Amino acid sequence: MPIENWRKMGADSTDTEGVPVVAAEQMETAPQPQSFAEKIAAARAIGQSRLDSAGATGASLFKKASTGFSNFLNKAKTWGKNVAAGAAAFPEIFAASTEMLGEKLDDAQERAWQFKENVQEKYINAPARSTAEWAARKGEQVKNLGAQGVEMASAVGRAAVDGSVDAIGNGMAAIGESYRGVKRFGSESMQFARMQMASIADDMDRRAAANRLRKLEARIGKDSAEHKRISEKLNLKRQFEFSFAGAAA
Amino acid sequence: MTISEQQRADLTNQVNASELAPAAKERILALLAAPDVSEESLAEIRSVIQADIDADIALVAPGFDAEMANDPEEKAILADGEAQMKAVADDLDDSMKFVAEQSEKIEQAAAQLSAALDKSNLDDVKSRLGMTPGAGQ
Repeated sequence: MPIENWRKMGADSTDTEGVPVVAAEQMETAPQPQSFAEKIAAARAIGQSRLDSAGATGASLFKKASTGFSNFLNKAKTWGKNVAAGAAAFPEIFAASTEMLGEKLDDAQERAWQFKENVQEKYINAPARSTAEWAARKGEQVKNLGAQGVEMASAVGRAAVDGSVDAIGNGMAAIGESYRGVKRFGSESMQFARMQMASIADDMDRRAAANRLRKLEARIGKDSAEHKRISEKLNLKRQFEFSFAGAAA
Repeated sequence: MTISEQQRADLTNQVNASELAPAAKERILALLAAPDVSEESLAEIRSVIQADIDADIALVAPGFDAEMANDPEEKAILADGEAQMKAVADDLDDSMKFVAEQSEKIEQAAAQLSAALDKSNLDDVKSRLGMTPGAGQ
């Protein structure tokens, strides 16, 4: 969502990633809406805005990664043609470049293990903040990404050292797999969050409406025609939610 | 998304049979008649029905809405929901940052492999010249 809209809702800045982190503050500082419909709608709007913001960030990242990967593949294709044609050489830098690439392999392996440890700490050891199923699935995805990262670094390192067609091909395949894994992780995180936001908002709506109906009984009586009419309208609202939820699943 | 024709017919019948105000019925039926139903359609339908309910309550229990503005249970329910939504949003932000970090690592790996591609050209030529391969080969 554009920052102008956030400002209208009380926000005034974004974080270093361009994400309007002020949403949390906005929840605390914005004027409190009065009607029930307004309260629920405001909560849903805040959730949707956070989703929109994260979605925009994700889309931008995927576009950048996709472009980079595409450029890389084009270079690889050119490389294949050049090898076939016998490219021009600079033998005097061969020894130096080999030594440098050997060091890069060590660095790459070190980074890969560090990456795996970070993943383990951040997403697998960390307590699940949401449903156990979601956390477990996410943890599994990240663990796989960690393994892919190790494989990618190793494959690239091998390619860097021996420069064989097979090693380079394996490195390209490993990078491609990691790229697809990261993209899948981002997309599914977005999808999970969207489903959870909707579920939380619906649950909040249902609980608050049930509470209101209970309190209303004290004023108008449970067996009154008015109570029956309002209950039926609430049920109709639920019918729509269930039908639409089924269609979206 | 789409709902089945059976669901559409059932919901249409329920709206027609309901005691919703005529204007509310008309709007909901128009939204329901569209070939594709969207999240926005559901949001509007939900809002129209809720507004109708609020109008009923205002008639039969004047001042109820103002009373509920300070209802501790309602406040607790809303605060709990908002806290849950915030946790999901924060976690999603973390995930997007993680994606950014990993994308960066992939770019670095691709750059490294690009260097290997360049080196491989040298290897190829070196081999053609019959020179001894370097360390690590």
